Amino acid sequence: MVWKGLMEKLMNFMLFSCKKVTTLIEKKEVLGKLSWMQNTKLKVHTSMCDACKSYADQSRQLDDTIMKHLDNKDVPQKILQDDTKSKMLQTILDKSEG
Amino acid sequence: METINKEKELSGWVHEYADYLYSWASYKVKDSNLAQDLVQETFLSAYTSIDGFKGNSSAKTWLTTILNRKIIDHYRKVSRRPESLITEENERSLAATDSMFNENNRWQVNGLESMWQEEENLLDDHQFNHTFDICLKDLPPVWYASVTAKFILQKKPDAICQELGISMSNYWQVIHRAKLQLKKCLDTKWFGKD
Repeated sequence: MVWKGLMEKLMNFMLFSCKKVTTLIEKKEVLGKLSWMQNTKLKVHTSMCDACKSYADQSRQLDDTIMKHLDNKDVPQKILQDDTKSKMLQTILDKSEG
Repeated sequence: METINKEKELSGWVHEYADYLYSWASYKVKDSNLAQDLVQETFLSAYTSIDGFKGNSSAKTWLTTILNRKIIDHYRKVSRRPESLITEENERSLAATDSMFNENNRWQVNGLESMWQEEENLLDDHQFNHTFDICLKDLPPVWYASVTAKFILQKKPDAICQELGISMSNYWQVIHRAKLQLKKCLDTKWFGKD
């Protein structure tokens, strides 16, 4: 357990921590690129770390899912009561006078 | 246009499109009262500029465009809260996403990684969409706004940031946290179910 902890700290020192890597994955996605140093460390870490490799895929999957989910025509249908609509109409006409 | 005709037009639009716009607005903002306000403001805006509506797009499209603009304006207001203001909601979410990493900031491996890959065509699954909806709605309002702004605006990140009045840095950090929370939610509610 102690050894594992030490290895993790060493990895963090040389490359980034997983936590940092996940932020860089997003930063790269949004900005389009990273500095050479950040990009290199990111690549090396990800090649050595299965969890981050998985996360890189999951991050893309989430992007896709969000877009498609929001685009889904399955918007829950809601209805406004007739008197609500009438009130709305009246408010607008009142506000538009003068 | 004569006032009497304008009123008739507006009345027609309210009766025909209010439900549609209300459904759309409710989907995009969490609060149904707010959604109703946004719909009213949409009709008000439309009425004010009704003379400019030449009917070259359908009324429905035109009204939806106005509504989307109102939603973005709302998002901008929400996003512009002072960064020093740590709301309870944000704190809870920040703590939850921090807990996904151990004391050395390494992933707490949960063994569910392969499950993401195995599931294809998730979005065809009605249940999944329902679960994902819950996860989205659980995001703090500011995070939710940033995530959906991309979809509503269909613009590149720098344009989105300009619209919302936030920095690029702020934007990607929020998106990052939001995605972590979504991952955690899906791991718990869908892939893991424990």
